Amino acid sequence: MTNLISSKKRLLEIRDLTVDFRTDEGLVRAVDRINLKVDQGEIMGLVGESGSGKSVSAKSIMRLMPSNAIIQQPSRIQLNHEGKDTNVLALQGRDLRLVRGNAVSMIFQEPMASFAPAIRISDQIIQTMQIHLGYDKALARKKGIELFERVGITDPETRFDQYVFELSGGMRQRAMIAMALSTKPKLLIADEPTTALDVTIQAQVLDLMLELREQYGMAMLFITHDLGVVSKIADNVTVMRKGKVVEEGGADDVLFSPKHAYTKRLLDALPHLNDLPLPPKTKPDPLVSIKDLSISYTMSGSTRKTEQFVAVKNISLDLPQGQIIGLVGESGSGKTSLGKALLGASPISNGTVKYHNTEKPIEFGSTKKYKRSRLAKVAQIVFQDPYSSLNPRMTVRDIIAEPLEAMKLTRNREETDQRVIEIAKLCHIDVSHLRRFPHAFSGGQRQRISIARALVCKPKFIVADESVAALDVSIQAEILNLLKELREQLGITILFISHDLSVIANLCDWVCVMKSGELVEQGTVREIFLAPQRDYTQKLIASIPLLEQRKEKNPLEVVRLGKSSDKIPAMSQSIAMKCAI
Amino acid sequence: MIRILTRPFTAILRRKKKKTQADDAYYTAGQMALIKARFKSKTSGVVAAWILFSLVMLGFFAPFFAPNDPTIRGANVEYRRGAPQVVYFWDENGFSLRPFTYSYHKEKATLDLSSLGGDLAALDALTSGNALTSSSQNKFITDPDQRRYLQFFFKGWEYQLIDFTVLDYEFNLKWDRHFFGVEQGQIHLLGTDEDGKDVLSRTLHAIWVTISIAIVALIVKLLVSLLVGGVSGYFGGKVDAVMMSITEAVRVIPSIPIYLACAVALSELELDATQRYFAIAVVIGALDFATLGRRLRTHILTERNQDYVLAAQLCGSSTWRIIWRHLVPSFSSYIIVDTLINFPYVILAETSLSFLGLGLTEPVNSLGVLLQKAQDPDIQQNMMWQFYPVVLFVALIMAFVFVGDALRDSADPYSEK
Repeated sequence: MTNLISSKKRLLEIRDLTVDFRTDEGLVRAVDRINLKVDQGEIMGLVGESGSGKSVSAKSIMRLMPSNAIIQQPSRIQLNHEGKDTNVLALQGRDLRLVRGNAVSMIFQEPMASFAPAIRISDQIIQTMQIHLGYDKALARKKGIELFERVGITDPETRFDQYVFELSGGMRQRAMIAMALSTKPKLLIADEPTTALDVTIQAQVLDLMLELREQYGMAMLFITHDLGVVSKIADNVTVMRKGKVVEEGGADDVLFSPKHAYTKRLLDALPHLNDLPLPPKTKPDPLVSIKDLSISYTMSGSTRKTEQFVAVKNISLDLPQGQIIGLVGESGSGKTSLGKALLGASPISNGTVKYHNTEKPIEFGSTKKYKRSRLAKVAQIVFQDPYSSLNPRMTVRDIIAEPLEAMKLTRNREETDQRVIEIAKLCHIDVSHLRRFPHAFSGGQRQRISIARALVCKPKFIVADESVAALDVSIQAEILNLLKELREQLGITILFISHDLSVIANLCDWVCVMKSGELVEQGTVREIFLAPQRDYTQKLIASIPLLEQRKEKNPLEVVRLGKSSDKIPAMSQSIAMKCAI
Repeated sequence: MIRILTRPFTAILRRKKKKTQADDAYYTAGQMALIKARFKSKTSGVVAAWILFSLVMLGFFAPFFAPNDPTIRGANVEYRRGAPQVVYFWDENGFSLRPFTYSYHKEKATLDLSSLGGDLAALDALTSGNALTSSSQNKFITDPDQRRYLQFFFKGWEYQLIDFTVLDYEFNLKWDRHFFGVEQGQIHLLGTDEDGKDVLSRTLHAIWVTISIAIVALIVKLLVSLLVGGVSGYFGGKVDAVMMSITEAVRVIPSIPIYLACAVALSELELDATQRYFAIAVVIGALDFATLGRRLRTHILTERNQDYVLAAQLCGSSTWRIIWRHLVPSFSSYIIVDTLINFPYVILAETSLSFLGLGLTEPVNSLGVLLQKAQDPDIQQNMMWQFYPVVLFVALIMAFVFVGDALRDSADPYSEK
């Protein structure tokens, strides 16, 4: 405890941090005696799932705890600022500004929620600089625009004066980084900054952060649950689980020779590119055929003329039976519209959807109508958000029994109950949980309930619309295994819509790639991931954060993503490394 | 030795078992149960709820608790404008376990006619005005030697418990027991008014009349709001725009002039007291649908786009099933809380109307009518006991407000503990 700052130029040291929260059920321990060290100029990756306590630890560095949080003894957080050792937990009043924006700065997961929506970005950044650095308005503005240019926002003068809702997702995150950097902090805490972004934008933002680290010599505490991202950017890694530090060490040690079972489980969730399933000998018959499908939404503006936004442009597709088909695309590519159109929940303006091998033929499109009950027995959907897709006022049993009761598929209550119990067992839902309400369940359990509801009327086809996007990595793995099990046991066809390529690689047999409403490429999973043909697909595959081993131990080396022509060699190199381990 | 070692384990096991029972109750709790549990932890709400409950019970069983008939039939002609009769347990004559009160006799009124000076006109004015029956002429002297003992479950005036006719079959249940009374004469714990009617009895009956008007008004308001909010929320578009414009127009009009207009319109019709009473209730309810209707419409507009409604549609549910099974329960708790919070406002509306003389009038017993007496300077100076209904009225309103507040906090998922 005497000399915490050693010759390695330690910037931040957390020792025995313990945080409790006062709740209805008593004291809940969120963080349990963790130790963390960040040196100057180093990037520390803090990995953990939701509930692991990583965000709480980061916020306690900046003393941003909610009112019912108690930091217990003997926690210590020491920050080395300008040669002096400061005890962060003892700061009071104005001195708190040191850790709130001055020496320590933070960027959050959701950039839209981090800026005030009704104030221009320029005002917010200028105010930050005025408070912490004492600049006057003109100087602050000049520095702000320089920062915008530095973080890669095109046309910085115009963008600087805009409101936050006028920027796209990636640009908002860059603006957030600019604001965090404006006070020249020594430590930048990044709390899941790229989780809400598309894969290609994520790659660019990570690039940017590495460049900035090199330029400013800034240390970073990078919080994430994605180990691929950590391998790209971090020098040291700490893995947290349920408030405790489970494993820590250099990035290469933790990621390539993990010791703890939990770390191994997290690593397992990354795409196994050397383990992709072989395609079946004969391509199976199509279950669903889409022909020349176009979906357009009418946008009603204030003028009489209604514009049409075309979400899906003339797609023809055949979905093979009995397989898990992945539909990949970035946000705005039209994949959700296409998925919903297969169930008749999107406005089809052109083309037809046809289901084969059903009792009564189902074909519908812009002109042909269909009967809802007929379609509902064949195709069902599992939604993305586990929290809003279950009616909070119905019990789980009622939720799962809804299709049976609405379409009167069973004769009496006992039969309904029997079917519900059968499906619940199939989806690994505890029978005693059927009496409970959705508020008692976690996200992963709720998705199981959604899946059970979709399965109870024995459909042939399920659309899973980003069903695992809102879940943690280890829970994702459980749900994906469940889907594979269902395919084996029931022989259903699943259309899995996602923007997350690692999930698709672990799950699907057949992959379709969409961009801006058009079908770019489709093929077996091996073809798409190992030998993509089109440019866009190649760019997409190359942006997946895979495990990359650092070539040298020098932490200041920047690992850059090359241009698209370099993609295939980079891919095979990483695969070779993975295979060699 | 072994028992000492195992004792902490058994204690932990027992504690765990209790905890899982509590857990189970939490997980299987529906929405109303959760709200109730949170409500019970707020002391102000629970205390106010008990007060409210006792007041409502007093009002509902008013004939049982009231020793006298509140109508003119039960008026005590010998004790007009009388002061409250105090109940004693002990006086200089000795201690008595049974509570008692004194008997009284009227003081002989003395008229100083000599001051008139033989002027016939002045005598005429004296006899035709209120002077002879005014409060100064009605003084009562209590007689401490003559006690009247209180009796419980006293047999007094007859009242009807249940009275309805079904298919020419009349079912009429009368009873005549009361909570307490005296052997000779009548007891007036809160005094009497100018006609001799007992203030306590009138007040208790008035509580129930006021609450029943509020209930009718709130039911009407609820139905109109559900209709307006439900239709515009579910259909949206032009229907929504038109209905909301009408709602805003109605909301903008200030309430008292509207009630004035309705009161004038009602007086044109030939209505007896009960019909007038219901008409007032319906008018108050029907004109107040704006706030609740708009809230319901917003709620339905948002809930309609939720994933679970789409999921229900894709499961093959009909429109009616979605409305009834999915949408309506989502705002049922809001409706209950909102209704309870609006009770005091409706009571105030009825009271202000009657206070102004536009709603119910004498001889109906309602809190507004009783409060109307406060306008009379004679009563303000000489018969202060007629202000007791004010105390009860304030207590009732405050109880509703506290209960409504606590209930709203318990039903709100975002409020902190």
